[in-house]
Amino acid sequence: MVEDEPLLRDLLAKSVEASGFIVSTAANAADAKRAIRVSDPDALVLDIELGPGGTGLDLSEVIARQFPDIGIVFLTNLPDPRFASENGAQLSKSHAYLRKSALQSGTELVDAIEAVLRDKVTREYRHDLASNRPLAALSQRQIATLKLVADGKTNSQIANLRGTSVRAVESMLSRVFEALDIDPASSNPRVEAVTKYHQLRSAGQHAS
Amino acid sequence: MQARLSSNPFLVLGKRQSLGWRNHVGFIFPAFISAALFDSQRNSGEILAWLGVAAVGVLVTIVSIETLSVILRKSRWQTPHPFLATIILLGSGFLRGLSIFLLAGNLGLIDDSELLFRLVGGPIFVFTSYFIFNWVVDEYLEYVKQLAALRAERESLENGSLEFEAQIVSLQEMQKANIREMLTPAIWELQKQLSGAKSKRDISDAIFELRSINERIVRPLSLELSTASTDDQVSASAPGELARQSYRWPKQVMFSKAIESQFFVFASIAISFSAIVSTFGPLRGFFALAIASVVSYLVVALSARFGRRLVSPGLGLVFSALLGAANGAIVAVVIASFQLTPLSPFLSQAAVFYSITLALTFFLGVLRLQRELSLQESEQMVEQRKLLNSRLRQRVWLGRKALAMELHGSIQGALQSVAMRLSRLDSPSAADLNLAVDEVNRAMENLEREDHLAGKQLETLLQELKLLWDGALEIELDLDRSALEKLDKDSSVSRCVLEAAREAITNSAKHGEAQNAKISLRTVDQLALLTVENDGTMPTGSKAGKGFELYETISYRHHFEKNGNKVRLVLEIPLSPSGEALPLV
Repeated sequence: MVEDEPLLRDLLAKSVEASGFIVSTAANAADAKRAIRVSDPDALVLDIELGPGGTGLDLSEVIARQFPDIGIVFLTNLPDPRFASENGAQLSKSHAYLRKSALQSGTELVDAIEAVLRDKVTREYRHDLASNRPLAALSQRQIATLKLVADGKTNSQIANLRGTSVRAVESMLSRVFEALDIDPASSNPRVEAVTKYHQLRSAGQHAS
Repeated sequence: MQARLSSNPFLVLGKRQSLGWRNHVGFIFPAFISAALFDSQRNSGEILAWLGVAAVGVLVTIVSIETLSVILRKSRWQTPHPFLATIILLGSGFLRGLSIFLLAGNLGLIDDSELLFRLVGGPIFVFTSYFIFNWVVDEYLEYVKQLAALRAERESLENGSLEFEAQIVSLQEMQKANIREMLTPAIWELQKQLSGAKSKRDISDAIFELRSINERIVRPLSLELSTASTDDQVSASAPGELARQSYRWPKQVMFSKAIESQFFVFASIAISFSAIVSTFGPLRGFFALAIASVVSYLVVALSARFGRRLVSPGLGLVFSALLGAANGAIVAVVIASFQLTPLSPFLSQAAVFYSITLALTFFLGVLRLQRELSLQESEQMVEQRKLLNSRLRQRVWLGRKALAMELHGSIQGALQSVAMRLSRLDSPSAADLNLAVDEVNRAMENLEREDHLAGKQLETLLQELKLLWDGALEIELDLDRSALEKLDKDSSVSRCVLEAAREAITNSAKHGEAQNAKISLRTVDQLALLTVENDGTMPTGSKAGKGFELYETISYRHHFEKNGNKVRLVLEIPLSPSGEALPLV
């Protein structure tokens, strides 16, 4: 159980222990790494923002390389991991992703852990794929294009960077505007799209 | 931007203004002075007649330059090649000499023996005059251009600075107040509900209130906080003393730097040409000029080698006048030794002439040095502003991150855990309820926390980063002890260093496919120098932007470089001026 907030960590650990699991806790990524070596866990419950130092996403990256058999349940306030870092993190299909605010009791967490252990993660345990999440309609490629727009790049610069044509970029942006419910005929759809992008991305960078 | 005034006088003939109106205006002065002082005295005729001839000569020169430029396809070149400009000037001088010869001849001011002098002297006179004026004008224009660019840059930084400071004030004052204003009543209400809870229904209402505070207040607040300012708008610095914009007479100058021997020689030729040639005759005159030029160049170049001491401009002016007089005396003696002229009257004339010319050269040199100094000062000022700018960017970034994290982490975590715990209790005791209230209050107090490293030291956190990646990416730490000591006093910069190192390491492993990495940390002056080297691939294309935004926000400068088969990211992160942590906003 990797969570930097002590109250929540203890509470969650007790909930999971009550279901018969043996739980070790860690407050940050480095402590978690130490604990993994000692306790050889089957699954990790990971918050994304873990205070100064490595994030939950960094830890999951290390786990994927060194301990690929460990199941991971992300438990976070962040609605969409694609905005958690500059890298636009993408999660493995075998990981569960739960939003803290959507958790009513410890039972849901236990169910998610069991789903991960059985390698049967359904959409029920992937809150990041919920249809009502912000920018749900955008693909990773569309988000990457939107990010370049937010960086102030012109369509031709984006086309150069992404190795595609200006026409393809224009078409991609039309779909982005549509997905964001922005009228392409409005005074400045680009600015509106960038504003929406910044809102979610900034929230992502600061949320956990 | 590198402030530097042009130093090659021949190459600047290739600039737009070399055949332009400023040089035409400048040319009028030597043309009329030469006519009034030399031609009228050496030849017959009234001074007014010679001034009229000079006016025609000036007109012919300017018209010739413009006409030759058009003939040589001025419309096709943006700026003339230096050789082309030389040809145009020599050609115009030839036409000028011919015109003056014909006009003055018809007016009976000169005879046919003047033809060679006018045809050869005209081109030399025009070329040297334009050459010198162009040199001076170019330096001035270059100075004006560079100063304007620096001013524009500074103004842009200052404009951004106002927005930036407004953002900081907004973060410091409004946001904190906003958070308290919105959260406190809700928390009071919650405390009241918890304290007065008698029944299970009351408890369940309180739990509902707990969750509701999270959804209604904390999350929207943290979202608003996160988006209160965008880094794109942040590009400025704090106010400070403005860059100096005008001349300021220097207290001290280095004599050797103020004297341009080339300028001195050309100025001497241009000014004395008519007098020398008219005194000695064309051939002997050119020979005398050649001797004078070589001697003058050697004397001034030699004196410059020994003139490396800093002197006041006044003393330098006196010294240059004395040196000029000595130079004139030497020139006179050498020329007399070739029996071109008797020493007696020439010695004093040459001494006075070179004394004035060298003093003038020194004066112009001091002005030039001062212009360069002004530009350097402006540049330094702009650099200082950029440094301050990056410090402020750091401050906004840290403030936003810290506050949003406390809202998301501490307060949301406390509200969630309290709600979850209470919901598990069938009948919470008064102690349980008090504990819940204490936990929420403690989380609220965290908003005031001013430690960006959660009580840890930077070295410990970097060691933890190394431990985290151990087995997946081998990280070597090369941390300068004195740098760590400085950064331990400054948790804000330490946090920036840590975040940059973390981002760089993640990208090395994830996108660069690196197996080994090295984090080095030093401090140089006002900067922490963080270097992250890895044996992976250089970020290119869409990967080049990974971490870029973060590096851009928290560093003064950053760049990637190739070091053999390794990729190196170098970040210069500004330290807080006092060496102490910036306050949290």
